[in-house]
Amino acid sequence: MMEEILEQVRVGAVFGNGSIKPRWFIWKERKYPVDSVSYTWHDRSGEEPVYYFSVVAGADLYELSFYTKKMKWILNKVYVEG
Amino acid sequence: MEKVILHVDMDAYFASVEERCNPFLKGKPVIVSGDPDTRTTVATANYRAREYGIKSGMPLRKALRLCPDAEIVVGDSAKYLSTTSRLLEIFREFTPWVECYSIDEAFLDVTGTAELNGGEVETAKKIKERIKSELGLTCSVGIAPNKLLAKLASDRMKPDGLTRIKAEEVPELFKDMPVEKLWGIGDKLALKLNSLGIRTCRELGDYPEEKLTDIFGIQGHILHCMGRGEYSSHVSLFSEEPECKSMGHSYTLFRDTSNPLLVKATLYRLCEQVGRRLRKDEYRGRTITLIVRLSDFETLARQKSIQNHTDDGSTIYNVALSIMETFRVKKPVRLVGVSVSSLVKGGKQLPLFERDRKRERLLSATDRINDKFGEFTVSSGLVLMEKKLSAQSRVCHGFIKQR
Repeated sequence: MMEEILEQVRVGAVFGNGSIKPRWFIWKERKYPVDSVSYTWHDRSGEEPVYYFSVVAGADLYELSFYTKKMKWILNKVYVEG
Repeated sequence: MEKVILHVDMDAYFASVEERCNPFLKGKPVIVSGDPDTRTTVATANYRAREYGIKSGMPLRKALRLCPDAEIVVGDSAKYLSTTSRLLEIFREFTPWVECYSIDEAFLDVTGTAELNGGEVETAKKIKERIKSELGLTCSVGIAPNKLLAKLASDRMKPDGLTRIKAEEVPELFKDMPVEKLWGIGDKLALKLNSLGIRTCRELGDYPEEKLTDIFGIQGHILHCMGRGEYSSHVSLFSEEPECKSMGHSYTLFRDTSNPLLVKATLYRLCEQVGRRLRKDEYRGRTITLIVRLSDFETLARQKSIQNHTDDGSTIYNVALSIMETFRVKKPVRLVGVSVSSLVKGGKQLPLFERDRKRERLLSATDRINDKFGEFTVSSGLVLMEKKLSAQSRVCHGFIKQR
């Protein structure tokens, strides 16, 4: 099941060719290398475009979002097995 | 020239998108639903979950009795809408004639463009490949000379199917096919047709057209054509905006309530949502319909027309409230719904009185704020009251459950 986190995190990402690829993120002072991005989608928060990423890091799945105007990353959810 | 229509139907759409998002769901029965803590239903189940008899629209509790180990994923409409817009981008690379029929279905008219891609079957294959490679999703495609047959074709082989129905195959295909298999013929209409001795599509096509029009009016002619595999509705251009006939919202309360304040506050929020949608799309309406469903599923519905067209949530609420006062609500309320019809688009008159002008300016200002910062950033106190009362209702519900 998904557990809601909603905490701001630091993210290392590659911007290019019209896409954003998160490579790692730091949450609670621990660095999580992103092994793969399983899905991306976008939405708006008011007039601000927001990009979402489902990423696999180690044995876990996380959902990150990037607020393009505020230039901030949020860790929305973590998937917990069971 | 015979038309070439494709119907693209995504396979277990919401569940497939969620499986793509979360690789840990692979191989598991997956149900996409609303908040499991509420009285929600199954939006979509993946094919693994369907093996347990789980179907869309089934109450989640019932689905979990059938398959207690199913993974529940709370649906995320933004995720699916974003995916649909990517699907439409792919479709538009094959033809400008793309009609988005629903969030997971589209009709494509490839009559003039199929040859560019090696024919209709090759076009369908290429579309399937693009969707698979870019989104990791599968779809079923039907190819036929019209929308009715294309939809029928896509349904014949699922998931990941590709089926073609040619016009000359229709008589044999329709010989024993039950009428309810046809797009647009639901249970009620099928029963009515059955009572006329019409059980198969061929029987529908062979039934005298005059008799059908006597019974069903203009729809009788359409039914006659459908029974012969004919369908005149064209695939609309993607840029053609379909005419809107009504706009509405309904909401099933977290639990049945006898609290009139909660019912009114919920109704107010729904009216505000309808008003906002009307203003966004530049519509105004003058017929307001209220629906109240009680705990025993008795449904009370009535409509009222007002003199002037409106797009103001407060006006809609006042009319809906006056309708509600005529209802004899003797049992707790389960669902509230409101819709506005008799719509006109654009051509709004400037208000004559200062009071009305002030109201216009207020609506315009709140709309701009909500556009910028998100829905209900600024709203009436009644909306806040609904949140508060709903939260109390949830706590109370939890308490009862614990006992």
